[in-house]
Amino acid sequence: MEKSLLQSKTALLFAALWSAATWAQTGGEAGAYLRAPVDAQAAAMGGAQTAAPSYVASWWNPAQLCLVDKRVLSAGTGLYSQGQTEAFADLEFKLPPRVGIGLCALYRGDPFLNDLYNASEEKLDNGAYTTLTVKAAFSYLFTRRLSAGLSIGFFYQQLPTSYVGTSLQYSDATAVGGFSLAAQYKLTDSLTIALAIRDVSPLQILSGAPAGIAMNWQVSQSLEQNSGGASDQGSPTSLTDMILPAVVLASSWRGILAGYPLVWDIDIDGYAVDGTFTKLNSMEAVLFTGAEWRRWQTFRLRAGIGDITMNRYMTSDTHYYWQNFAFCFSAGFGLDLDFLHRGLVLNYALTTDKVWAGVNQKLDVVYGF
Amino acid sequence: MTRDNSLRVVCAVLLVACAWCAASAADLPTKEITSNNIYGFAGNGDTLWMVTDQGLNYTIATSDTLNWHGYKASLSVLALGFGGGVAVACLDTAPFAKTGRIWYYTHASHSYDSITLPFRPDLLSNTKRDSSAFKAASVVWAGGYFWLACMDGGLTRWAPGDKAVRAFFPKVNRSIDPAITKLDTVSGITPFPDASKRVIAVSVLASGATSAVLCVLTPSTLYRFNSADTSWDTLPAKLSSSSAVMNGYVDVFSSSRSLLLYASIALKGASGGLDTVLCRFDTASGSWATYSFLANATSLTFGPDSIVYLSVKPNNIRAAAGSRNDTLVRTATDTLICSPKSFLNDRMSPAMDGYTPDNVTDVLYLPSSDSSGSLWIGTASSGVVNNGLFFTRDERKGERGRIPFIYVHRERKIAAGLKQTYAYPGILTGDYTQETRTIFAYSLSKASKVTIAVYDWNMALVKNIITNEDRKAGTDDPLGNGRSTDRVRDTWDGTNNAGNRVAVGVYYFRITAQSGERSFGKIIVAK
Repeated sequence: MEKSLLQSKTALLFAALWSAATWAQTGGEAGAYLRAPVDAQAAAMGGAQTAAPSYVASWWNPAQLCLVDKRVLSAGTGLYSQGQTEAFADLEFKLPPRVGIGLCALYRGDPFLNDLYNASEEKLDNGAYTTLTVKAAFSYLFTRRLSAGLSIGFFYQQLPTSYVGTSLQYSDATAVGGFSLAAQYKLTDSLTIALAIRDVSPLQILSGAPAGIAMNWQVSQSLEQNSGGASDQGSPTSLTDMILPAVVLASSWRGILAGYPLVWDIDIDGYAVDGTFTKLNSMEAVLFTGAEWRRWQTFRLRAGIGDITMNRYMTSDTHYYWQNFAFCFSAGFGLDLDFLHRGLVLNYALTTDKVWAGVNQKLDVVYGF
Repeated sequence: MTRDNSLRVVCAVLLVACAWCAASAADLPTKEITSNNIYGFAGNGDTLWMVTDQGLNYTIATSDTLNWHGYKASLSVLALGFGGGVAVACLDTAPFAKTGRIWYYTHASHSYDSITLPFRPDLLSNTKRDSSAFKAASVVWAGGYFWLACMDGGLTRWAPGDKAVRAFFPKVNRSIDPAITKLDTVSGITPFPDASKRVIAVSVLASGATSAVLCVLTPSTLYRFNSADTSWDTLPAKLSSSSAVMNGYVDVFSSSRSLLLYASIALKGASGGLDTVLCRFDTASGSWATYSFLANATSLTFGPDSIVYLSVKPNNIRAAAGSRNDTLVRTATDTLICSPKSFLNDRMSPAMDGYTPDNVTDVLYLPSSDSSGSLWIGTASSGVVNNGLFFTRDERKGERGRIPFIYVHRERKIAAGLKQTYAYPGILTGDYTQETRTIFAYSLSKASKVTIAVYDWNMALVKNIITNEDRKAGTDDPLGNGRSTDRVRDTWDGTNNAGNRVAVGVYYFRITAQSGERSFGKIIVAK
């Protein structure tokens, strides 16, 4: 039985790989900060966590919320190799018998914009990039095997977009109403699959607008001059970025390795249209996979490989592909802190970044009660 | 007040007074070129002034090393002049004001100051106030004064320290004190304002110790003004060629040294098209000879003998020489000096690693005492590459066309070994259709193949800037700034590999050399 499950899972993986026969890259599309894994468990498992997440389901897969067996409160932080930082807090609970509710808030940004120069190569003031994303999620259990959920999001970004002399001028953009939709189905007792559509705004269709999440910026021209005279920057320019929506196909397999429980997760994020719902020249897919081995009673070992970009360069220009699309290797652990307080778990993850500049670290605490 | 307190007050007053004196006598605060975007020059044989998009600079043009002095400020400079040891920058009007300002620097005292032109729009009726402008579009030094083409304020005479600013109007043989005069009531200049009588340019035909003969230009008429007796003559508006019709004057250029007078004149051709071409005034026939091959000149400077150098739109330098009868020719002589192509490609390109400037803005020849002279060319661009200053110290006749220019491009010195890398500007702004770029500044410790790539917040590849391209060691930078950067290739315009605009946000770049050196940096894109 286990062997057949493994075969089907492998077949699923290769089917996804094959389906990404024509591809384009998505780097530089809006919402890049939304595409990294949120919590330490997911990060340690290569970023694969959409099917049956243990916590932060409001972010990963709201369909899971009605399946949590107790209230879960979690909070964590992360530091990336290039100075990006993040912090999150999440609360989720079940309203028996069929409803689940969750609320997640995520800060991400880069507070270390300390080496910016103007066109005259004078050092600009230190700056920071700040984002805040809040997702309120709801889930409903249709059958013992099938559940569905949705989350509605609030998106905020702020960053320096111009300068006068050496002083930075900030702009911000806000969007409310981005949706993530998810469905989860338990194929067998050991295999769960999920399908999620992230970061779309179907309500906008009613007004005839593209169903993407629009971030509207008002950006002024930079001025080099720094004293006296006119300092009017003129009318700011309006820029609209549409967050790139994603379709996620995921699975979670629970089996046995060397006599101890093993969880093997796979996420495949597919990108077929841009934020305006215009078909991309070609599709791109990113594969995340990782495993958790419960060899010890209170200690879970995790490892994974993430950000395996599947695009046309895999076959057409393998040298270019390996030069430019590095994977993330990750490892981490979960430690039950029952000795401190019942229901408390500490999670830690260490991952390589994709440019070999260093490592990213995440740490969070989960409290089930 | 106690005695102690009195002492403190006296000391404080003395300190403030000393500080004020020190500030007012301070030399220009910046010791480098204020910007690589250079918009205009002024100077005489040994002093060169230039205006950039970020302020003003001067240097001693004849010294072996160019030591720059600069004033960095958001000055909107309309005209730049130099004479009598004083440099003046004529500034645009402040918002909601009608009257321009003058910033000036006195070399003898190393001090700078500014004044507002003493016109009184407030004395005019509302409609006349709204339709008039009193700002200097052009300035020259002659006869011990600066002469400013002050639009509706006529030809204005000014000198630092001289309280008696006077305004002269075409065909009015007396001067007016603009500080007390209600201009719309002055006999001879009504109706006021009259767009056809606006003084838009001025140049020097002859200059003495206390008087001068000037060419004063309005859109429709070119006058010769003698400051000694405030007399005005009208120069004939007649073309020597009958194939075109004069449609108005655009600019005037004259040389008291070679006694030549040129003007950019808008001509309506036989086909009805309008061209702005260079014309030379022929005194004998009293008419303008047209040189249609010298069109769209933005500036003109008089070189040795009868040579003139022109910067012309959109991006060129032209040079032409007079023959024996002092007529500009373009044939062999033009080629001999420097054809447009050779000027950019042969003389400017070698200093720029094979590239050429995007936009030539001004050209100035400064004669020196030994019958040679230096030639200065300013360039500017909307981005940060292909701009800067070009010059040659000896533009002597026998060597013209063969001397490559020296290129001055303001850059910071950076540490070698990729220890200090950044992109400038660090924030890419502007309309995203605009060709603005950020340039990667880096220095290799030794020559190597270099790869530069840009990534988004999630470290997904956005753009391959260069891949395994040869770059020199920083120590081989011809400008001495330690740069390995190719100023044209090593740039990013805020697009991804597909050529599409990237989203507003923070981006990260990686520079790797095959020698093993590598570095990272950040860029904000908001365009």
